[in-house]
Amino acid sequence: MTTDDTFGQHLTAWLHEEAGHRVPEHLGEVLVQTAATRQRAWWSSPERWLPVDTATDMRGRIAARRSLVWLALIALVILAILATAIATGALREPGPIPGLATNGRILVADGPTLKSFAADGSDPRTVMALPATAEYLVLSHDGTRLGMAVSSDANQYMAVVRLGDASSTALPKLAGQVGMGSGLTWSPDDQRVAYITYDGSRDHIVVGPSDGSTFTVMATDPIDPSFGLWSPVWSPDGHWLAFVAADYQADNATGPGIIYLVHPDGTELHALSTAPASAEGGLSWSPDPAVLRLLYTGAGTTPTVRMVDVGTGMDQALVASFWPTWSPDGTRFSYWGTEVRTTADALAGRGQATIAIHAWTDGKSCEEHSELKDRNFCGPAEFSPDDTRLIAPDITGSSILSVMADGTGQPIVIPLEANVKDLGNPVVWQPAR
Amino acid sequence: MQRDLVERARTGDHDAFAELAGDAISRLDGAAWLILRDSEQAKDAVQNALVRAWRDLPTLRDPERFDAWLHRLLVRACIDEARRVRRHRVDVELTPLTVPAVDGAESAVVARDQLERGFLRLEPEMRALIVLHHYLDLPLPTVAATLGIPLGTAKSRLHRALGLMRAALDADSRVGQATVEGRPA
Repeated sequence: MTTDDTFGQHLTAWLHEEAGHRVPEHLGEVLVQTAATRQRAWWSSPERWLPVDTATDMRGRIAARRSLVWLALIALVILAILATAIATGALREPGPIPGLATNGRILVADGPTLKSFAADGSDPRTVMALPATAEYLVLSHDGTRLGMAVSSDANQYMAVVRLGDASSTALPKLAGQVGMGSGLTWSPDDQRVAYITYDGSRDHIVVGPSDGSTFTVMATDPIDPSFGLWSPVWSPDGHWLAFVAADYQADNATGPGIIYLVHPDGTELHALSTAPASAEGGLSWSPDPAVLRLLYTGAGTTPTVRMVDVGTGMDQALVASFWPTWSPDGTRFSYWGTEVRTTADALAGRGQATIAIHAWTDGKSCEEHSELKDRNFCGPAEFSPDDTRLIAPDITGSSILSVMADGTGQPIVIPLEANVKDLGNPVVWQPAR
Repeated sequence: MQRDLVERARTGDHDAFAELAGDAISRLDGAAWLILRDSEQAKDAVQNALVRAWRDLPTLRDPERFDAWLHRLLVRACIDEARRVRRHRVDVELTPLTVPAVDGAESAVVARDQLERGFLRLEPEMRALIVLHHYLDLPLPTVAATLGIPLGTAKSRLHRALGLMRAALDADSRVGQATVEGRPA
């Protein structure tokens, strides 16, 4: 195996090799059983005579009818509680927008509720109800609005919620689905957003005002239409959007991808990276608008955090890992482990990483380390506004952990009601003012 | 050709169904085995999927969707089988893994071994997504339709599944690093 091979190609080859020796010998047995099985009448399924595929919906409808009575009873109980609360003065107006404390606050999509906590995990507040599962939270730079990908079984869309009045806006999309392997990105002035949407045959990047009133589809013609687009990020100087294009139709779903740059008006689309990029590894711009540098994960059997300088085109490997994120002051970056390095040290190939959380070394996966609940991450971490802490869901997805970036102290554990294990970026720091 | 067979089978022609099943059983068996990693369970899942396909075939509106529909039945059968077994399984503590330092041809063996360990650690639902896409070569929109989930969800789940595999492989590689560098575990 060479380092030039892609992870996806290895995976595909291995799957075919593994299954290749199989010789199914039970066809006869199956056919004996089917011959003895009576077929259903065609009219017994609504799929044959309704205009939509209801194969998975009908059970829900039947269940919904059964549950109507229960819902009515529950509604009556809730009304009674509300009436009592109003009569006793217990019900107050929703709290003000979560204050921007010294080190900001932590916002978490906890199932159907957006919650807020102080940086030390105290002072829990309910910010607003969410319409469905929300993930890929991205806060506007002024901390007042939150972009998120919202999904239910039947619908997907990008939304912007205003934290002050709990209002929300669904952003336009081209077809029934948006590209929800990544979230939206805010322009530096928070006036516009960009995100991925799918038109039924290919992904597109769209740019528009953050109020969702209109949007522009960017031409990405030089990119193979079968490629999926991922992780759009707006540069801190506002002049560029970076994103990854990767062939998810072929056998290399997550690499080798290509990082592209394009101006927000759609001009000057061009490839940036010289090394294959992983679509799932994440992109992170350095915060300094004067020196545009982008962290990404290089694809391959051993994923590598790399940094490319937009000005010089220099593209360097920094450390063998993935999920890089910059610190807000731009001097350090974190990556899975969970470790932190200064950029200068990494570029010079010197110094040691600071271990924020010891990674396990027994070869087991996150799933197999439930004993590390409330002690370890399993995902990309985000720095606090003052660079001192890192947050991410814990290894089981049942809590949010906040740990010191220098590895000191004990993790702060913020328990969740919903499990966020399978969600992308369900937690974000609200900046300090 | 296949459309003709599906239409005939849909009207009760068992010979036509036998031909369809014969064409499909190798890939179904391979996929089921990869998802479940157990020969008996894979056999049961394939059998359940094909019996259900025969039983419900008259209700399939569009014969062109036969393959996607059959894959969907198989994935459901596999997940049902995994859940059934999981309820009765006694968890066994896994032996801590060590990755020896090797070169050349041996490294390919180690890499395959690592892939297997990473893959086995995924839940069957995630394995199914990878198998549909990377083994059956179905494009993601078809995978999404097969699993009855939106494309974006399929993308993000695949994204997540491969990320977890990478995390597992990285954890494996750290075993060797920890030994070589003397780094605290």
